Amino acid sequence: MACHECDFLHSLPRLTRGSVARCIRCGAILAKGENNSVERTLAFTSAALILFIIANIYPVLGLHAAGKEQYYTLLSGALVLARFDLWAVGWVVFLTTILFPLLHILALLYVLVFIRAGRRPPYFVPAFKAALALMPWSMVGVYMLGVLVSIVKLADLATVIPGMGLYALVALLLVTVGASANLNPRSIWQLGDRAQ
Amino acid sequence: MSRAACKHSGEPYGSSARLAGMASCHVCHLVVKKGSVGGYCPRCKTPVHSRKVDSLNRTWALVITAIILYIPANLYPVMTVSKFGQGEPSTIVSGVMHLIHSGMWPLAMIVFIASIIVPVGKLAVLVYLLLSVQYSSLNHPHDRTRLYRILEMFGHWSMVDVFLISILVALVDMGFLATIEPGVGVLYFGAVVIITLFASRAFDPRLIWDVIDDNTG
Repeated sequence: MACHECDFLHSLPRLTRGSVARCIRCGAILAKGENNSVERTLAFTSAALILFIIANIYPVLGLHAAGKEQYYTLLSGALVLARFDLWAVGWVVFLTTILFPLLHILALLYVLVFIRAGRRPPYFVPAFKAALALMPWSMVGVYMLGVLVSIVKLADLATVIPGMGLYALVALLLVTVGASANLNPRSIWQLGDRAQ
Repeated sequence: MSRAACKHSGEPYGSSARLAGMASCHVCHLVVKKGSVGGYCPRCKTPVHSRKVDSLNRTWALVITAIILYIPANLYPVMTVSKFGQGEPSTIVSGVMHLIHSGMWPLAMIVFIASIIVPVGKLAVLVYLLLSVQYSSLNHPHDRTRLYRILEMFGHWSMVDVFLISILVALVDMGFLATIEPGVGVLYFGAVVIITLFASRAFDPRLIWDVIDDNTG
């Protein structure tokens, strides 16, 4: 295989469990040794789907001031920008925090369920390509940082009430990190090839 | 497996795929012999190119666009906080200053790093990488590759300001003592972040090594 960062050619030996192969010229990670990655990624991704649904149904934060309470959900955070004629920004927020993460989770789950069962899923190539392409565009972690900053920022203005959505979002962030740390695209491409 | 172990595996200190007449697929990294597959990856059907197509021109175009848009992003207010009917527009920089004055240091640091250091640093690094490839630099290829890797890893954290504003606007809304309205600056800033993300993806780090391959034989 060729290094994706400097194009140096390598012939990879069989990797032992949990080992990592690095490019001898530039040091980029070329491949990871098989470590139940399909099972682990599948577990994390299933959890992510459930948490994603909870995070979207329940309010993320509430504000309590002057005897009134107000809550917002993930979706209303994106929609509110459209009201101020900033629909382009609203779309970006909607896509990167709701639609892309959801499609990424669904596509990955679809591929993994079939691969786990030793079968090549119908439309394997477009589905797995979509899952990989959407990964950098789902920004749950960055959004989480935005939520934390806003909590601190508003703390002197009013009482901030954390909602169920917030806890789900924190958990979602953790399982997303778990899923992407265990995902091994190279072995999934190979398993898909072998299964056809 | 360590770098040393890899060297010991009998690998000849070889060449790049390009010099060997091969290309690796952009999506699934399968290595194919150039010209043998009709232009498409046999595994994932992606068009196979040795390097990202027109990488330097596309990266330059996106970088310059982002630099231009970064000006209105800083001049226009990103949001207006109104207390008791008194509006107070704030830009990215004045927002950071305000946080410092009210003693919220950690917060000021987060916003400062995410909204100023990361986008400016990212654009500066991209310009440096582009120039170094165009002037066929032979210096520090490892460090330049590492810089690119860091760029790809942290670029999207600049979005935090856009998310923060959307959260504040949605939360502090209707009938409270204070309201927060988004400003048009957030549109430009969001555009800068997105365009910079595309710019760093358009750049091909393998170009750094092509120069070295061609000059060392």
